[in-house]
Amino acid sequence: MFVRPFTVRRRGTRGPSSRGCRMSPNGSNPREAVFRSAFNPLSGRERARGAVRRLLGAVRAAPGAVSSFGRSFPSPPLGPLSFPFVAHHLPDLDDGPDLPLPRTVRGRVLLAAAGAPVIALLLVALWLTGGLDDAKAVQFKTAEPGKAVQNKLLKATLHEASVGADPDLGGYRLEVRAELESLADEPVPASQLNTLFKVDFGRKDLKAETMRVRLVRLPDTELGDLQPKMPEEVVLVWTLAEGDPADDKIKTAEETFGEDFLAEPDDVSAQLAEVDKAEITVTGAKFEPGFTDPAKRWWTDDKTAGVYTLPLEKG
Amino acid sequence: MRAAPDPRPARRRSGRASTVLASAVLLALLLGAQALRIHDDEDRTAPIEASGAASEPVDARSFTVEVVDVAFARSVYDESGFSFGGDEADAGAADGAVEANGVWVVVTADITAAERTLERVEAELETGEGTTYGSSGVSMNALGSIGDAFSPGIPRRGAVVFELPPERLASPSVRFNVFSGLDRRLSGSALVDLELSGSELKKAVDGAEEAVAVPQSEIRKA
Repeated sequence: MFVRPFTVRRRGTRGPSSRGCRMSPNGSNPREAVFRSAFNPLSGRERARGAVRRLLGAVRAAPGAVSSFGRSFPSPPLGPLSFPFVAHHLPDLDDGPDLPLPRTVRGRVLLAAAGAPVIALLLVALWLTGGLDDAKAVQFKTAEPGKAVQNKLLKATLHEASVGADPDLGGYRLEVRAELESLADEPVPASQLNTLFKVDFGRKDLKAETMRVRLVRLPDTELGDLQPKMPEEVVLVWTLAEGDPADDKIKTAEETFGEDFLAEPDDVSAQLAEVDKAEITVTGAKFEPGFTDPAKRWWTDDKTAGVYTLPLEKG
Repeated sequence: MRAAPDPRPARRRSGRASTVLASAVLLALLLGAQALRIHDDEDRTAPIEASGAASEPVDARSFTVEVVDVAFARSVYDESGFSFGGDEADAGAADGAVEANGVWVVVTADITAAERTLERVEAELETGEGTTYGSSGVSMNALGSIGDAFSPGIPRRGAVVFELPPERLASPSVRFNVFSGLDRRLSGSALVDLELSGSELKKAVDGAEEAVAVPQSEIRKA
């Protein structure tokens, strides 16, 4: 996981500033005002009332202010106003904008009254969209048989599955009837579709090997290339083999290409008797060069496009 | 000691200007050279392509190809190579005709290798509207099947078969890539414009034959 180096940005701190003390125009430190207002025993409403009273007093005291409003405004207010406007309500410019919470109790109550339904609505929306569950759970996409699943390369619709003896190659095979339609602009060799389908029987002693693609309209013919934008009804055929539940090691070259490679196909009839459904995952696709070959081809991107759970017909 | 004033400031200025100009020209050349590089590893060794029209032979350096016929069909079957049985054998083959999931395009061409014997043909049809279709493996007789060798100087006539939705055809051209072995890197490739489009193409597709026999490839007199 990507970890960003942790940094602390100091904004709006109340502690002693390292930037030195800037003096306000009337000689007092604005910070001092903050402290003063913080320790002011009067409530906000009372303070506001006091300020209004002082302002009214100043207006009354100013000559000419009463008779003709707007022509001569008291400037600068002297006498009773020389002290009270100091810094009580000066914004603390030094620390950047604080959260503009209302200063009065009524304002705060109103804000809470208006904010609570908004938060409640947001919570309901969060609950409706699945809450704060692990997002991966949403990625687990179940597909109904007969419904199409799409990735970058193709649209695939899986219908039904059957298992049974393989008259062509011996051993046992899984067959799935499907419709495939390539979304690419060029023909795609059927062999490149192999990694896009993953079969899981839910047990480790049974696995599906390489997939072949047979045409439904020409039962003896295997699909060579999937041509662009031409829906094709096919049968996906997997040879079944015994999986070794204990052994997760990667095979050596001798084991892979040795005489076992040519051995008789596995007899998996015992395992097949116990399974009644197969989970077939259609994965996403990406067009990339291989590990040793610079030629680009289609590979699975190991993401899930859709999961079909198909009941197995035995025959 | 007082430093002497620069005797020729104007010349120095012009010298600087020429340096800037020369650098700009060199930079432009550098960018031009970069643009000429082939960045994709695959493209660097891709088959070398020549292009031409169906009315004339197209020289792809290692072979020449001349398209002699283009046919549209609803179904195709392999023409029997056996002379005995005659029409009956062909009638049997026609029973195994494969209907198109769209329309079949059967392109007959003469291919002549230039210097070396070539034995593999890969053909693609570019529809002219952005999609490319590969030749179908349904026909065993199609060019490039096992046993087809293109000896230098001796033309071989055969057909390649494509299956595609007719509405995708706009101005089709066929790419022939003829090579030997498994390696097609830097081999010759010819893109032949079939010179069919618009109403002419539509007429040809609409008038597609019911069934067309794909002939076995044969050597022709040079």
